[in-house]
Amino acid sequence: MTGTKEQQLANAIPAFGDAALPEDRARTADHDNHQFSQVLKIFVRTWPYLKPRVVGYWRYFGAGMSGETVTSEDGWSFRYVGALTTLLAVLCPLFGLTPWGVNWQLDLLLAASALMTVLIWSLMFLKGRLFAVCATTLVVVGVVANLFAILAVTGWLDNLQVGLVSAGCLCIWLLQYRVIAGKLEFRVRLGCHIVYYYAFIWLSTLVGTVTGLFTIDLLNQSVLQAQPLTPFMADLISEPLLSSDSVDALTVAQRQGLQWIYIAFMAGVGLLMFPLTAALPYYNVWIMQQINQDLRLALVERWHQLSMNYHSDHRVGDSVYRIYQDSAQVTAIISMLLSIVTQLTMYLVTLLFITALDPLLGLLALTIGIVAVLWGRWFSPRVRGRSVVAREANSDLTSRLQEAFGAIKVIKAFGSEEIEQRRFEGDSVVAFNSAFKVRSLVAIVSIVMFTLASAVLLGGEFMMALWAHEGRETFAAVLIGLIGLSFAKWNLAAFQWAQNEFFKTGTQIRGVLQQWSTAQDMAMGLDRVFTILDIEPDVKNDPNAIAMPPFREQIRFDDVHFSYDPERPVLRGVSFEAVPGSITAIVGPTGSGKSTLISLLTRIFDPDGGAITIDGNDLRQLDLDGLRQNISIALQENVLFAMSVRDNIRYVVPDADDDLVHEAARVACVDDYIDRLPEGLDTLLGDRGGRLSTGQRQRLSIARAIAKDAPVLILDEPTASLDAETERRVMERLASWGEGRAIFLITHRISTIARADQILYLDQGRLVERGSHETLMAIEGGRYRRFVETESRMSKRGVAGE
Amino acid sequence: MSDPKIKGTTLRQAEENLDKASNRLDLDTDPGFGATLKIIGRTLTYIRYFKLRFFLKFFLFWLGLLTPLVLPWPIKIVIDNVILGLPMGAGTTIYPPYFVPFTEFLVGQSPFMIMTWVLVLVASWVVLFGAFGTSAAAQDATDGVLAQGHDTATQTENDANEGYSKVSGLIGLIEFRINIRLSQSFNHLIRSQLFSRINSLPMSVLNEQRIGDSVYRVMYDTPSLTNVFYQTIMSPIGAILTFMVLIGVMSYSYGSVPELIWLAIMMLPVQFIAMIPFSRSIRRRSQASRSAGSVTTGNIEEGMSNVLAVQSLGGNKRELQRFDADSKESFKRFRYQVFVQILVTIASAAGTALIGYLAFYLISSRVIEGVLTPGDYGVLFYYYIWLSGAVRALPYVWLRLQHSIPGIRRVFFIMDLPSEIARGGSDLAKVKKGFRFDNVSYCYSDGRRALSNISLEMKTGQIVALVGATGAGKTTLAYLLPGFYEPSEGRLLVDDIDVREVSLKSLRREVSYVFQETQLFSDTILDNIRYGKRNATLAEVQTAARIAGAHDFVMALPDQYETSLGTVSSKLSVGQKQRISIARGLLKESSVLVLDEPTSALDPETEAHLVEALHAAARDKLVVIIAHRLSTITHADKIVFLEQGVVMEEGSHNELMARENGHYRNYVMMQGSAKDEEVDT
Repeated sequence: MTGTKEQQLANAIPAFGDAALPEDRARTADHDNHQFSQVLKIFVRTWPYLKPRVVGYWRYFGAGMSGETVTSEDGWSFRYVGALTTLLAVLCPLFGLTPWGVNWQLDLLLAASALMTVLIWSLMFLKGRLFAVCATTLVVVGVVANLFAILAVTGWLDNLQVGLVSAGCLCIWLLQYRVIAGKLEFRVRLGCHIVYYYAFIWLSTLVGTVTGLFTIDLLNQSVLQAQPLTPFMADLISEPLLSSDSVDALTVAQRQGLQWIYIAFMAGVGLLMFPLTAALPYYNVWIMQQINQDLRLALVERWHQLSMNYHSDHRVGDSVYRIYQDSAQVTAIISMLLSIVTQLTMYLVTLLFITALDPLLGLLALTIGIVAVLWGRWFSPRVRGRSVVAREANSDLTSRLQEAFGAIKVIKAFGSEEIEQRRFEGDSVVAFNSAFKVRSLVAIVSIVMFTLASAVLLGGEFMMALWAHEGRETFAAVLIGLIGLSFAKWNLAAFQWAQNEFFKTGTQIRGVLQQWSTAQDMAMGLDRVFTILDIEPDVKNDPNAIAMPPFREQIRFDDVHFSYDPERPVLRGVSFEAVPGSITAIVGPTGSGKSTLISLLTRIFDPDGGAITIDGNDLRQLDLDGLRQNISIALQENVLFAMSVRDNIRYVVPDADDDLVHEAARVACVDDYIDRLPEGLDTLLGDRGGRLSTGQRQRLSIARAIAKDAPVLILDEPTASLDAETERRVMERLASWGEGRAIFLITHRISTIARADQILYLDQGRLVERGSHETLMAIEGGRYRRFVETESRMSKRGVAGE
Repeated sequence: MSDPKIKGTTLRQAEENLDKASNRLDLDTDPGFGATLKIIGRTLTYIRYFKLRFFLKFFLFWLGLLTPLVLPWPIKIVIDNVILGLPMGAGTTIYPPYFVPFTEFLVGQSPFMIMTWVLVLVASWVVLFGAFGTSAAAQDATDGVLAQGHDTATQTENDANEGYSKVSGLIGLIEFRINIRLSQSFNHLIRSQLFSRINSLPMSVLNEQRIGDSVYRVMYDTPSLTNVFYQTIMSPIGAILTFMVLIGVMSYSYGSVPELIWLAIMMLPVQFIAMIPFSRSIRRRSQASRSAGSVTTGNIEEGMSNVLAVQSLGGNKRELQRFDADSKESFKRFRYQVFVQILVTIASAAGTALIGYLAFYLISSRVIEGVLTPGDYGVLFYYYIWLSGAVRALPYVWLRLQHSIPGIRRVFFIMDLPSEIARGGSDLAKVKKGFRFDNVSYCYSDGRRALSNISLEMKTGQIVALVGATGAGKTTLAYLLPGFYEPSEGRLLVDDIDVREVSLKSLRREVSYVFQETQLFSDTILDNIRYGKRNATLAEVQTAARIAGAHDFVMALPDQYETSLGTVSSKLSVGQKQRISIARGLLKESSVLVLDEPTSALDPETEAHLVEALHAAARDKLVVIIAHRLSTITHADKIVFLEQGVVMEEGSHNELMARENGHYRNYVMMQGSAKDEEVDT
């Protein structure tokens, strides 16, 4: 490549602006048909993949129970929780740890404990909607009570009281028991990783917030401005002398002492939280990978169940893209939803705080939220439209790559590297241009929102600064004082705290909006995943399918019709039988339906009309996996896989031992070849079994079919690439191995055909002749006879020389 | 599960086994310090194609640095002069020279007016730079980052489309757009080069190269280069620049606290000491994660491309298990990488915190001593965070690089493999005389000998049949003709010129090769047949299709020649696809035609037709056929009988049949007799 070529590549994408997409990719928001509710629905659909990590699983303990083997689901009870919670609720007051009537905060907590106890009792007897209402109330009361105990009430005994009650309530979900035959058994809920993870996250956030709340006061007012501590703060660090009750201003020495307390406080908290900070990110990755793995597996499983009708219209690269990139979006859902919910909640809480300082500020903060909703309505469908286009363009590119590398021999042989290069570059440019469209929109969403929010926030700051200058009274000083802050009047600390909180509303709303804009992209990715999961396989297992009984009597085709599209019938009324111990040769011109006939037997497709039965059972009534286990096939396109020779031979029977592998190799006459390989059976094959000649691949694929040891064996053009000598040996060994099995052969080779017990001659989907070689040769002007004569005339001409 | 060999006793062994499973040529995956530097240097040479855009990005990046220079001051004014009500210009603080005009303008104004003017300044800053203060809540950065997953492959789209600006507003938007377009252009260049190189690798290398691995490298390894591109240039220079400017401003205004600057500088050795020990570990884990991803891609691609085989064999469960194990492995390797990163982050955070407390102590002591105002504390601590952030960027860059190096190495490894195009050579016109093998031998890369001492002549006007048992070396010999393989020893002459001196492009133009396995494209049948001759007329296409016996069934299709073939088209039988591929070979105008077992899927009548056509064509062509069918072989002018890579006999059918106990004669008798027996009964 010359320098100019590289410069051209470097300039292929615009340096700044948008670029037009090809017509089939140029879609706008009008093409987006997802409503808000549909986007939510897509997220809800991911629940089955998240659920196992939210609700966890039951682990069973007790007499005679080992592991997770469960005899029955009945009898499990959580009826003990009422008594347990009551006991825990009265424990502290009983021992005088949390006596009634000391202060109103503690009384409130005790009341909450009582309410929780009542609720937990009611849960034991209620059902349906009332149960749900009570359960939700319980959760809300529990969370609020715990927060209140930590934030607003001094001392740790109140925390113990509420904590014990909460733990009692939690048992309803975590621990159950039953009595079976006089034995007591337990089960414990484990593995709720997402719950654990977020519990830890909230814990560390809580610690961080609480630390920040107190230290900002400590730092700004006391260390920097020599103001005494609030009594609560002084109490907390056990320096009552620094409290505002004792002194009016702090001395230099006291302030220097506070410096060290500040450092010790921060470092201590940091050290305390260290194990959490270290483990949580890893834990998160681990959980999300599990979830992604489940979705990937579901996708691959469904993909392999889909019939060839689907696969012939879809590109492999597209599927790879869906499995990798689209399914990965599931990992961001929880964090996205939680982030939106918590940011919105925090926004509302902050709104309250600010309103308490001044209602006008609250109104301003509310405006930001309203602006965001309007903005969101505009950009959401546009992000979705562009996201779909970008995803499609990138899967096209992946497909292009995969197809080009797959066809690389042909490309070389035809010297078409340049054409392929142009196509690839074209697809790559489109992929980048479409990615640019979605990403630049997401960026603009954030910039516009920031600008709008800033306008509101600056207006607020303007007022706050002036209020602080005037030392104006705050709106609801009592409420503020409740959480341990001293903002009765607007002062520097109040300004900084309020400014901080006020600005937070902007950040929170921007956060929600940013999550929401990327959520549109996530939804489109997941939509592409669910599209595949929604396709019902054409060939499916009958819900009442029976396991296939051992093959004894006969395989029967009864007036079977089949077509890929209705205008071109492939099989038109084919009927025949095949019994165990017989060889059936299927003969006919190319395209006469031979391979299709075999596809119907393995249920790659189901017939449009007529029926195929094995021992009288219609194939559609048999369990699909069981059926395919009973049929072994060596395909015309000898597909091998990038595994060892051994693993290739035992591809469908991974447990097969070496004896079986050797025997299969012997029957397929490939044993000599394997022995000559440098690493024998352990030799790794390349992609699709590369590096082997066709004849070797063909024999390995026969060995694979034999290793399966199934009662029905199908060989599609098994010997086309074998020389006469090898072919004869393979056929002889096959014949003796195949005793008691039904063998089907599709072939053009007369020497092979003539060994068959019955020959089916197909032409344009019709079974025109059927019988043994002798019978068919006896038909004057018969199709089979003509076929044999042409073939032998040509080879005889060869043998005799012209 | 998919391959027991992937499991290893040690981490190192397991990772090496993964490397081996992903690519059997690319085994030296652990670059040392020197090689790492070389890889970085080589990546940077690409800047020459993007000089202007790179400069623009740089310039805007610098513009963005204005925010920390300007925005701390309005806040100080709000605190000192509005809230605390100190008169303007009364404090001890010396404002930086560029800010003095503004402060002088405010002298004597009421707090209300001061606040108004500050607001005007800040609002214009919002529009231009998207920032109205120094706290995180008051600043916006611009990126177009979308959600990503938790393994290496799924994290590449954000890298490939990396666009970032420290600021937002108009300047941020412009910088972001230039940046993302630059990343994309750079990626496009690398991707295209890599794609082109893979396509021009010799066949012997491609035999070892898994499709999935190639896809992985082009799609998921190339974005690693983008990282280096910015990290090595932008971040350090930006960091140093930020550092210098901040120090300038700080010492101008607060000459009294030089300790703070030393503290920030101290960050450098502390961070390096904390991070350096992990660099090799990160490289190894990142490489393993990529290898595991490549294996996953390779296996899933293989299973999906051969879905018909998988379904017929009942291998659905096996494929699912294989994918399950591969994907788990790839997730695990990524997790290991995350683990090392967490370790580094902790080490680094510990260092940062230690020095941070020192900084706090220093500044707050000054406030307590009364040297600085409480407002100064905010400004200075903010400056300190910026300073230490700038310093910390350097070791962090080194670490980020370690993460990208394995991906880049994987790209450059392929780019450095010898290209077959690179050999050049003279242009070959029509092949007039033919090919001559002069004592040619060929060995596979693993040392196995496929052909030994072949001396042979193939003349234009002849039909040459290559005959022999499976594995005798027929296809290998034929592969030498269009230069798919090059002789390991001896010479192959085309028209008396060594093929190595002929350009491959012209050689392949003159040699048409029809492969054993058919590989069609997802275009129309028409485009498939005229793949080698784009401007062929429909009549020409139909003639070729008739000879190959494809015309009749094509005409029976609903859209005839316009029928589109799906990727894994199940709608045509293997025989039908083979005929289309024969027609494709016939249509290509060339002086040599090689047919590798063309007739195994043809019925006798079509075959007879094809052989006749070949005879007619052979007058000015050389036709080489590999076949087992006697009826095809006997028509040849020259039969070459191969056994274990050696030419045992050559000559016409009659000549060879005349040899008592000759190899060919035995071969024919075996086949003929088998047939005669059966047919004549």
